[in-house]
Amino acid sequence: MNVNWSALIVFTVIFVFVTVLGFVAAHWRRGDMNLLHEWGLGGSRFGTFMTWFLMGGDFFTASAMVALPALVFGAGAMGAFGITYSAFIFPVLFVFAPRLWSVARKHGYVTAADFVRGRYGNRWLASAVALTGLVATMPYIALQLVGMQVVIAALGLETKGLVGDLPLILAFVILAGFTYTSGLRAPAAIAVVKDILLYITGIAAVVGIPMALGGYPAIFNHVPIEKLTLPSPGPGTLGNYSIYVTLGIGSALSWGLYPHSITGLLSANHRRAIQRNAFLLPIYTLVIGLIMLMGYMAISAQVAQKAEFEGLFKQFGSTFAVPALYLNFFPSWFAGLAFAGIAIGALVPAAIMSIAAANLFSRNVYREFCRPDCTAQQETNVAKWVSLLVKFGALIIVFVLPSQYMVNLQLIGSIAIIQTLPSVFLSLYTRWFNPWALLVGWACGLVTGISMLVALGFKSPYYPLDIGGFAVPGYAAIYAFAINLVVAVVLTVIIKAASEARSQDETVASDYVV
Amino acid sequence: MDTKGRSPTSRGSRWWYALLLLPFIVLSAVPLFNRIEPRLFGIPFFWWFQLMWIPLTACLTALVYFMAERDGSEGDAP
Repeated sequence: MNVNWSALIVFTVIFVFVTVLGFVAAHWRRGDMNLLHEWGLGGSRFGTFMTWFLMGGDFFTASAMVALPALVFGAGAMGAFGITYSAFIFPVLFVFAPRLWSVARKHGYVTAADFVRGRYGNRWLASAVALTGLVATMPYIALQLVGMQVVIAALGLETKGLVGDLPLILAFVILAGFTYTSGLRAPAAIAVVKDILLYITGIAAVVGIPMALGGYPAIFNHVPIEKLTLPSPGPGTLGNYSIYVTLGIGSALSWGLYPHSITGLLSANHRRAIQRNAFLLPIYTLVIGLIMLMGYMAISAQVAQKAEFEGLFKQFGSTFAVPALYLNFFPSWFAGLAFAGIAIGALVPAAIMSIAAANLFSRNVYREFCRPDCTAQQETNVAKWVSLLVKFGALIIVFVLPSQYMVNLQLIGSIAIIQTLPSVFLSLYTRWFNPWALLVGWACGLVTGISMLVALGFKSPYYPLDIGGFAVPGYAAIYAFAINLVVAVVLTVIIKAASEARSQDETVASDYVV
Repeated sequence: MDTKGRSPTSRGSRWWYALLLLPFIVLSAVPLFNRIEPRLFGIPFFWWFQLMWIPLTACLTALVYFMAERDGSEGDAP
């Protein structure tokens, strides 16, 4: 292993700066850190500008920076689902998020499960929503840590064996430390640094690399033609078309339901901050879209065939495409800058995710089932400790499981989180549903989704649904969600016909709009 | 009982929220854009057409926001 010293020095300097910033952030717009709302939502003090950074931190992550171009590099056009997914997120955000923000502000909700508890007065449905969020979040954090591992390797550091685990453990300790002391303020402050770095290095890549490769026309001329568009489906199937569409829609819907997205939006100081971000955040996604083209640049530049990268491509597969491009086309110090951006791009969402999971556990499991009479300080302390546990769990996942399994866990996570859509998003509009029907629907959706994955041998999340001899392959999350919705609707109709009893709703219509 | 959770005051027609469905409809019609030509700056149609829909979706969302704000509903969803 040859350590890339100038890249490593730049990387370390930025990392130290960010660490200090993370701890100092506790004093920023100071609040009482013994309150869950202050620690876990930054006191909901973030305006349009900071919400832009924070929600961008949820979206513009290390795994997006590294994994999406890697998908384009490996699978070609299918990777473009990342673009449709990004386009779909914002109308979804615009329609649902302001209502959730308003009702949460009115009733002091910190999590989506809090809202479900208030809407239906059913602690079991609320804890199902909370547990789904917890389970879905952990592999997501693990995936961010893997993104970090790739850039650590790109710096020339050893990433195998016990010594190889040390840089990641160090990064984890830093992350755990500032999340514990500063709560959501830490990732918010750091997100600003991360964005500046990713903007500089991202734009440099999408402008500079094509210049070195003879322009975009030359790049695309070097890419095999079958990688540029989706293969046309054969007779009797919708083939890749239906996979592409369901993957885009399914990913956008699950993104909005992930606890870290909800934490990001609930920390806004006004519903307008969220609405404005629904059309300001796409500035981010446009850059991500361009960064995805780096997958094609890596094909065109044949970085995978270069001797110096061979071992790392073998170890990390196509996820090494982006780091290889930076090492190949830019001076070492600049590559160090880009890698710092990617690594911090893992820290920010990992911090937000662990805080979101901690809020869920502390509010919807600990206070609900263990200590209903706990003080606000006890509730917050539990959250702080859980944020450490969640990150520790993610770290264990990274060390114990081969990366292939991690992607599977993430798939299960997405399939699980979308099952909370009727209880959360749809319930923002109506209380027509019966909570027990929602709970059974949730369970049926989960069982369906996981059975589909099992039937596919966990090799792919695309289930070949057969409709009267016509194959409609699609993202299992969407099919499982359809079952969930049908069960919830049918059971609600049956229960309503059988009994007059209504669930207790502590919210009123006007709570959702101001 | 107001099961829709809407504000009790009427705000007239809010047809423009339907604009938000446009990206979903267009980007779901894969055969429409699953082609290489015409290219833009060498980028295949499949890619630039979809990339273009990110700012377009943002513009549509902004339009809905400002229409709703003018309407006095603070950009609230229907």
